[in-house]
Amino acid sequence: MKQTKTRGDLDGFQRITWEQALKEIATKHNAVFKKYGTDGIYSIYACGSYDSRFQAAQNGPMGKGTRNALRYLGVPAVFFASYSTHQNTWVGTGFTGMSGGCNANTVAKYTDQLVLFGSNDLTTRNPNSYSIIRAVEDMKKRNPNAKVTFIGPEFVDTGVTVADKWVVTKPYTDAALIASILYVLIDKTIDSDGNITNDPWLDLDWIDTMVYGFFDSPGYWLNESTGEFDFDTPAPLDGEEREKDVNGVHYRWINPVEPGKSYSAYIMGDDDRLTKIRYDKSSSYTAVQFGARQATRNMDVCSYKSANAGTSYKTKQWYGVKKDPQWASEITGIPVATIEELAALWAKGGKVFATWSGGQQKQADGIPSLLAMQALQIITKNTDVIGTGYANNFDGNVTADPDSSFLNNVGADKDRDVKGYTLYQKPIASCTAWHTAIKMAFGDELKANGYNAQYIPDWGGSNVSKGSVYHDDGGTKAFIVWKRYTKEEAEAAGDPNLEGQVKTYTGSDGKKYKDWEGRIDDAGNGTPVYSGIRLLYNMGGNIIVNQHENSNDSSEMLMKLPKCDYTDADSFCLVSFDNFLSPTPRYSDYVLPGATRWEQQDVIKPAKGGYFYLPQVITPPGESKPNWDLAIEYLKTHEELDSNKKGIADKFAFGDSKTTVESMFKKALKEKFRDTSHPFYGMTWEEYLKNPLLPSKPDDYTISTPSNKAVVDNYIQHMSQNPDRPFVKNQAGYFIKTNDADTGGYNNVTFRTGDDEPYTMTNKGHLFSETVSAPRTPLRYQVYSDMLVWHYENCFNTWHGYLPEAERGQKHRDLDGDAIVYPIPLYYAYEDYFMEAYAGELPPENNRFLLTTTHDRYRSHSSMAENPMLRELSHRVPGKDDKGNFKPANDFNYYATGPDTDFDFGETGVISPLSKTINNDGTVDAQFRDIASYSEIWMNASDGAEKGIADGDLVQVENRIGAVRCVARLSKRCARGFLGLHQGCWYDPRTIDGKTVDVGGNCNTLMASKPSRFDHGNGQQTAMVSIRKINI
Amino acid sequence: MRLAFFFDQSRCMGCNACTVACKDWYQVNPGAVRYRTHHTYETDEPGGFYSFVMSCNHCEDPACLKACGNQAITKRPDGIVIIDRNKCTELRSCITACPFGAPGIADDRQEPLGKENWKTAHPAQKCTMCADLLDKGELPVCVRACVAHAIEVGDYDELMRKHPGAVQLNIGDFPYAYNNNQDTSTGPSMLIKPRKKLEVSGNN
Repeated sequence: MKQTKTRGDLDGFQRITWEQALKEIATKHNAVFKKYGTDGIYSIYACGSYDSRFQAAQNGPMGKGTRNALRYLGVPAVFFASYSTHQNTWVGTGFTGMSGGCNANTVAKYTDQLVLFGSNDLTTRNPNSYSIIRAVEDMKKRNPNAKVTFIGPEFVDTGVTVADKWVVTKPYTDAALIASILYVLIDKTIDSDGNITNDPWLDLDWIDTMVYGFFDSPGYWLNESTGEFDFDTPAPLDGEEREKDVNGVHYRWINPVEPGKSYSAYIMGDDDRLTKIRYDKSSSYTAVQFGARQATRNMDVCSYKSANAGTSYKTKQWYGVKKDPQWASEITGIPVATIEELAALWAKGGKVFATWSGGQQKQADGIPSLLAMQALQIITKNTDVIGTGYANNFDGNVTADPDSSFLNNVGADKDRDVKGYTLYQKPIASCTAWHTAIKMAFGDELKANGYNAQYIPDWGGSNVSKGSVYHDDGGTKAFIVWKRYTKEEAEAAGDPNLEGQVKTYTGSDGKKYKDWEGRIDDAGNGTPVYSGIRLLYNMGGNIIVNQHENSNDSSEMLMKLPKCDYTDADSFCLVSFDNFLSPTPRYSDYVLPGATRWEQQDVIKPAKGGYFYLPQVITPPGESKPNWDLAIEYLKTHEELDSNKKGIADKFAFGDSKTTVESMFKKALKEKFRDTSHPFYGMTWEEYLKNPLLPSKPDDYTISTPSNKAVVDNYIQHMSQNPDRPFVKNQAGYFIKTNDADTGGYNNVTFRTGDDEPYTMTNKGHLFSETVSAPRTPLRYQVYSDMLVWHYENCFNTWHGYLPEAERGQKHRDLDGDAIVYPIPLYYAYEDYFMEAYAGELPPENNRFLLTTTHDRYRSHSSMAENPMLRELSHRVPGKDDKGNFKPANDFNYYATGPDTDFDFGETGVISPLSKTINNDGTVDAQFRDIASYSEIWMNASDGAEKGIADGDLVQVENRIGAVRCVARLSKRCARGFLGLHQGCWYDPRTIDGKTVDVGGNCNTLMASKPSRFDHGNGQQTAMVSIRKINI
Repeated sequence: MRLAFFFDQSRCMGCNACTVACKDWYQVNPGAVRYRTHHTYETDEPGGFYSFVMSCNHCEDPACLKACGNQAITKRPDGIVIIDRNKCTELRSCITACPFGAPGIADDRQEPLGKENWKTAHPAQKCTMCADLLDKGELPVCVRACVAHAIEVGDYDELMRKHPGAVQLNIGDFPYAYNNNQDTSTGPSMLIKPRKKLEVSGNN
C-alpha cells in the first residue's frame, strides 16, 4: 500500500502492485543517494522473526549489516546497540573491571545469597526459565540458609516463583539503597572516631589494594613492572602523555581521587569519620604508600557542590547528607531495619550474586544503578569469586549440538561477493537517535508545517530548525554528509582500503576531525549538509511509532514531515515491511506485507536449541513475501532502473538470483545424508523434514569461572605472605583491565582515535578527536571512573569539526551549569529527571505515581499485541461480571482487523483505528460495552481505595507527555505510589476533550523524549503520572 | 488406576503457556469457557501470593456427574470425567454443582458454529485431560506446554509417592481453588506441591 494523503491518514492508503512499490522506493533511494550519498539512507533493526537465522527482519537480507542487499546499493546498516540493551551495552562492566556473574549451574552449586534487583527474568526469557527455577531449587537443597531476595516496586512473576523475601521499594531508587547499604557496612567497620571496629564488615586491605576510588587517594605514576608507586615524578601537564616508557619500564599516570570526591566521601556526606581514619592504620603496601602522602583515608567530607547555591536539584541537595538507612528509607520506602538486614547479606564476604534482568537499564538513570550494583559487589569482594558477581540473568548453559552448526554457515553473509561495492564508512550513532536525526535534517520543513515539539517540553518549538538536535547528542550531530575517499583517490593514496572511508583533517586546535562536505576552511566556516535520515527502511518493526518513547511526538513528526515524493530527495520516506499493520506501518509511506516464519523457508535456532531447516508450512496469504524474495526483487528493480547495477541480485544470492532458500539448505543437508560420520547419515530429505532436530546437550553442568578469578586467588595468597610489598604484575593476572583509550578497550566499549579505526561494527562510533587527555585506568577495580566522565564528554567529537569548539563532544552541563555525569555511582533523584524532562510541569502533588513498564508475557515487545488469545490474558473489559470476577478481553474481530473492505489496485481503502469498539471521543456504543477491551494497569490496592478506583475501573493515566486509558488491576503486588503498565501495547490515539488520548494503552505514550544519562539510550521505563477514574 | 494432575506451585511462574496451548489445541475462542485458568491469588496474609492453575480435577466423586439430569457426564475406568456434548441440553446443573467452576457454557460470540448432533446451541464443555491423546500414549497438551515442568499427569498414588510433600487439593490450604461453591466432598484428583511462605518488607 502507498500513502496518498497525509502520513498516518487511514483513508489515504492506495493499493499498488509490488512492482510499482519497489520501483518507486528504488527511485527514491536513488534520488537520496544522488544528493546525500549513503548518509541519507538508513535501514533500522527490529525484532521481527528474532530467532530466524536466515530470514530475520533484524539482520537478515535487508536488515542490519554490511553485507546484505543494501550493500549493493551503497548503504551499510550500522548503529549502536538496541532498545533492549542500550545502557548495558554502553556501560558494560568495563568501567569498573568486574567480571560477570554465574550461570544456573554455578548458582546451584556455589551461590548463597541471590539478590534480584527488580529482575523479571522468568518472564523476559521464558524459554530459559526452567534452568533458573531449578538452579534456585538446587541452591536451597544444598544450603538450607540460601535465600532469594527480590527488591522492586512490582512483585513480578519471577518474584512470586522464586523469592523468599520481597523488599518493596520505589522504582529508580536502587543507587540510593546501595549507598545506604554501604553506609551500614562502613559504620560497622569504622567507628565515629575513625577507629577500626572489633568486628569489621568490610575488608580494608582488599579495598586499599584492589579498589580505586572508594577512598580519596593521591596521584602517582605506576611502575607496571614492579607495581611500585612513584609519587615524585611530576604529574603530566595538559597535552602530555599519561603513559611513557623509561629505561624499558612502562609507567602510567594514575589520577588522584581528590579530597571529598571518592565514593565513600559521597556516601558519608557530612559524617566525618573517614577524615579521621589514617591510612597507616593498615599495613598493606598501598595503605602505607598512600599514608605517607595523605594523612587520612578521606581528606574531606563530601566536597561535591553545585555551582548554584540555591539549586533545585535534589541530587545535589543531598551531597552533604549522610546516606544512612534513614536517608535511604525516605527515598526508597524500605524500612530502616530492612536496609540494615540487607547490608548484612554483604557483610564479611557473604557470597552474594546480584542480578537485574533487563529492566534496570531502561530507566532514565539506569546506568548509575548498574554502576552502583557493580561497586557494591566489588567493595564487598563479591566479584571474581565463584558463585558471586553481577549479571543480567543466570540462564543455564546449553551447547547446541555441534552437528547442526553447519546450517549456520550456509548462505552466510560473509560468503557474499561484495567486491567492487564500496563499503561506506558511516558514523555509528545510538540506535535511539533516529528520531532526532530526522528532525535535525527536516527542522525547517517541520516548523513550516506547524510542528512545535509540543510533546518535548524540554526542547520546545523555538529550537526546531535545520541542524538543531535535542538532547545533544548520542551521535546525532554526525548525521551530515561526509567526504569520503573515492576509488581513484584511494588508489592515488596507495591504499585501496581507504575507498569509502571518511577523510580526516587536522583542525586549528591540532585535533583530528572527520571531513565534511561543505568545509571551506580549517576555521570551520563551512556549510554542512544535513543528511539526517531521508529514506528509512523499517524491516519488521514497530519501533518508530510504538517502541520509541513518546508516541504522540513520533506520530506528529511523521504527519508533519514533507509528504513523500519518490522522485524528490528532499521529501521524507518511511518504508515498512511487516507481518502486521501495527502502528508504525500505519504512519508509513509504503507498507509492504511480509510473510511470517511459517510462511517462508528458513533456518531457525530456538533459544537453547540447535539449528534446523524449517520448510514453508503454509503459503503466505495475499501478496505477502518472504524477506529473501523481497531483497532479490528489490535488487532486480534497481537493475532495471540502472544498467550499471546489472548483476547485483545474482551477487546477493550467492551467484544466482533464482536460488531458493530451500535449495541452498537442501544441498548442504544432502551432503550430510551421505556423510557416514554425521547423525543425519542415511536420511532422506522427507525424513529430515519430519525430524530435523538434533537434541541440545547440557554443557556437562559447567561452572562459570570469573575472568579475574586468578587475580583474586593471587591477591589472597599475596596478602597472606607479603602484604607490605606491591601486588605486582608478575603475579599472573595482576591487571584488572578497565577501559583504556590506548588499548583498544575491554569488554563492551571500545576506544579508538578518530583516524585509525578499522571499519567494523564493534568500535561503536565511540570516536574521539584525541585520546592523550584520557585518564588511564589504575589497573585495579574502579568504583570511581574519571575515564567514564571523559568518555561521555568527548564521545563522537571527531565528527564535530563542523561545530564551534564549545559544541564539540556531547553537551555535559545541566541547568545549573554542573556536570551531567560524575565518576561515582551517585544516586540521581528521579524528581530531577522529571523536572527536566517535563520542563517543571509535574502531575499534581496529590496525585503523583511512578510508573514502570516491565516486559509482558503476552507479547514479545509489541509483536503479537493483536493476538486474541494473548489479549485475553492481558486486557480487560471494564467492570466485573455478575460473580465479581474481572472480564477478560474478547474483542477479537473488532481489533486490528485490517482494511474494512477489500480494495483493488489503484483504489484507496479505508482502514479502521486499531480498536473498532471505541469511538473517536472515547465513548463506547451500547453494543460494544462488553467487548471494548483495554490494557491492564497494575496499581496498589490501598492507593486505588484512596483515589476512588476499584478493580476493573476504566482509568486515564497522564502526564505532561501524553495520556492513556487502561483498566485498573488492583494488587498488593505493587508498592504504594507505583503503577505498572507493561510494555508493548499498540498506540491507538483518540481525541478526547481536545486532547490526544491513547486508548491502546501504549506505555511509550507517557515516556518523555529525554534519553538516559550517559549513553543517550532509551530510558523509557520512567514516568511520573497521575491517574483518575473515567466514569462510563 | 486413578488418573490425576500433579501441580508444582513452587515452580509455576504464571506464564499461561498451558492455558493458551489448551485453548489453541481445542480452538476455544476468548470468552467465558476456559478449560484451564491461571491466577496469581492474593490472600489476606502478608506475602500471600499464590500462583495457581487448574482445569477439571476429575474428582473421585464428581459433583457434576451426580447433578447432570441427562446422564451426559461419565467417569471412565481410569478416572477421567467426560461430558458428552451430544447429550447436554444446557440444564446448567453441572455448572452449579462443580466447586471449582470447571465446566462452562459458551455464548454465540465465543462459539459461533454449532454441531449437527448437539441438542442445544452451546452444550457444556470442560477439560478432558486430553483423554484422546492419553489413549494414544501421548501427554496432555498442558503438560507438554509447561516450560517450568510444573504439571504432570499420572496415577494418583504414584504421583503421591513421587512427590513427597505434595498434598491433595483441599479447601484449607487452597481456599481460592473453590471458586464456585464450598463442596469439599468430591475428592479432587489433583495433587499440589505448595509454595513456601514469603516474607514481605515495605510499603505495599
